[in-house]
Amino acid sequence: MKNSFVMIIVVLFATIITFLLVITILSADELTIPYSCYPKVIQTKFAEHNLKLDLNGDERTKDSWGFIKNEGAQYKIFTYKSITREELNLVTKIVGETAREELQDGENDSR
Amino acid sequence: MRKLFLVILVALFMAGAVCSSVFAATPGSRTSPGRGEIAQMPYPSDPPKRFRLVRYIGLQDLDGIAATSIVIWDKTVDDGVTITTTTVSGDSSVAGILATTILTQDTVDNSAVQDIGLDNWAWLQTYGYALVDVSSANSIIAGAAMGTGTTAGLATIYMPSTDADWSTRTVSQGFAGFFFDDAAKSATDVEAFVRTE
Repeated sequence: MKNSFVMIIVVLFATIITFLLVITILSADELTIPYSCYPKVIQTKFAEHNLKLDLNGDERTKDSWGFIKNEGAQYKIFTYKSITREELNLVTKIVGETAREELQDGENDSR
Repeated sequence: MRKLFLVILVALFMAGAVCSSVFAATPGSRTSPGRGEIAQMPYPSDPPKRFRLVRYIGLQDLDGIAATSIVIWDKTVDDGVTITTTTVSGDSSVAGILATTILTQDTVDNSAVQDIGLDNWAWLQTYGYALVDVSSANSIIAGAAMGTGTTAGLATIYMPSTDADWSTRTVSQGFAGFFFDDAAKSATDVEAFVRTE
């Protein structure tokens, strides 16, 4: 009797955890930005808008919003939750302004 | 043996309960792009989506392209980041569905690099659940393949071209995904699954 009770608890726990894990994995959206970047600069810019961007998915904390992956001429942002249209518009603004600033800095440096 | 059967039954019941809230026929979270919640738990239920930041040139006197429009890669600029609309049915260069509205270029003949950070960039969805506007050509059948229509920005049922002329046929092989539900002609925000990458 005791054994079967433990077994029920274990099976229920395993089922719930498995589904929660699957759901968490499934919820990540992927955003590809065709600009080169300095990840720490992007992280700072996102922080100004209260979006905590990790430099690695393993750094995730409770208040993290997503993480960045640098791929040379482009970079990707993976969100931990499904992104909203408002967040997409905000990301466009942040990545655009940051890239523009870096572009202008580059032009100034070359003068 | 009976106990084991009972345990499996309870486990299946729990799995079913979770599944029904996640993958319900029309859950409240089906707002694309968006997020939903499972009961009181802070877990989003939307499937994964892929987005790509793209650019639009357009004519200066136009308003841009609205979100939920189906678009193609621009074959004049040839840079792989610029999109445009088409009136070719089943256009082979189909790129995906716009998730946010994109505006026209401010400065004519700017390159993609010169346009960086300006307002003619928006998000193209290339994979996952999306909403799309459909043309007046056909009503939509659930499960039908999706492609571009003969009206700019509007999707329709995709049928591979069987034109005897290969030069015409080859530009009309653009499969973009499928429709989730039936929909009337000219319907807006039709549920679809885009799959262009």
